Amino acid sequence: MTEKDLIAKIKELRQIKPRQNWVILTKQKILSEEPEFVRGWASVGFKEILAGMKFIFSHKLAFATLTAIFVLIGTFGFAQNSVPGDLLYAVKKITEQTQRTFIPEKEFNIKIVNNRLDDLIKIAQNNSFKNLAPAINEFQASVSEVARKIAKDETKNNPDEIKKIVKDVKNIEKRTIEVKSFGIQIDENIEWDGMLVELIKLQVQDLEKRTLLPEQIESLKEIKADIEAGKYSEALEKILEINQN
Amino acid sequence: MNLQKEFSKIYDQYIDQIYRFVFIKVNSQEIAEDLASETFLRGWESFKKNHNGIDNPRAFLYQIARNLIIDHYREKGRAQLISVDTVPIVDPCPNLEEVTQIKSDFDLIKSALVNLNEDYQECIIWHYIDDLSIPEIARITNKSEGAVRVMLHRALKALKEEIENNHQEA
Repeated sequence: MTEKDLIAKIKELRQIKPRQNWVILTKQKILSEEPEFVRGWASVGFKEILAGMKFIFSHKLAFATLTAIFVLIGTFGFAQNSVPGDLLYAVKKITEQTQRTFIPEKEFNIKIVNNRLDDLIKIAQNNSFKNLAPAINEFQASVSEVARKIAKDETKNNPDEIKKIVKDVKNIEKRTIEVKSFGIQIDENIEWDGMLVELIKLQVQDLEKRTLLPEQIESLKEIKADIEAGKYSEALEKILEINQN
Repeated sequence: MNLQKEFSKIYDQYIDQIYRFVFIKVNSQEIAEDLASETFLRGWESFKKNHNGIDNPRAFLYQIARNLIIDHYREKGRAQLISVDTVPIVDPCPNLEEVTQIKSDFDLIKSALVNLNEDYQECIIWHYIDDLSIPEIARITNKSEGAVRVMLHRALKALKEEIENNHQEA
């Protein structure tokens, strides 16, 4: 069956239609209904309760604050070793987010992906399988985030910027393969693949405008064949090689 | 323009599509009617509160329908009944042999589609049956346009393989 035939057959599913009397009755029901919103907020007088608490605890507040600060410092310290699925992992994430202020956004997102890869390696080395599923989910979420940001990034049309992005992307691919070598199964990430395809196509367009050596021309043909075959990592590798020469 | 009149137009425009989308995924006329009806009811509630904020009613309704289907499966458990009896085909052809052939192809595609993963199913339904554009699908699924293109390509490939497997088993 050709793709054209398949699409034609899919379109036959347009025959599926609702019952006409159901359509009419439903419309009447929806547009004539006025739902009741029942709001039952209990007004408890939070200000009064807070004032009372302050009154009771004001003498011990200074000591309680100091204790809390020490506990926090300890918690943040322990949290850095946590991995997804651990109790303190949420604290680690908060700490990571504070770094956003000091690092450019692009670098920050890449750093998060690398942090998640570090978590996965730690889990593999410690055989802590209960953390594997949450860690994979966190990794996939961070990868999707990077992919979305790169897809929207307009500076990627700048040749120098693309080279940097390609390098970062290739590094993530390499580290992901390293994590998989531990036997960890990571499913394809459709956002990442979509972004890779767009990025590789931009690079191919740039290469086609340049004067290339014979071996680079050959390499470009191979890159196009890799794209067709869905071998995005191999295509990226070849692009990096051409850019380095 | 009167809100009710405006939403009435939206209802008329998209009821068939939303029903069909839900029906293909739940494979039951009764459940499809319930969920489609709930989709428009919730759509109407949101429309009344903030109709200026809904710039793409179709995408908005699909998102509601999608969430309702997820909730439905969460509550009921995933039990896909491949029933081929409940499809109301409009305008059946008079020739019996043609009817049999058409019904056979139709059922083949429908059965194969139901066996794909959710993302692939939705892409195919939206793009090839409901004529949604890539940007519209990207918006509903909160994915990039590149990701949607890749997904469509893979969805068609997966559907083709599924149909070929079903053919061989038959």
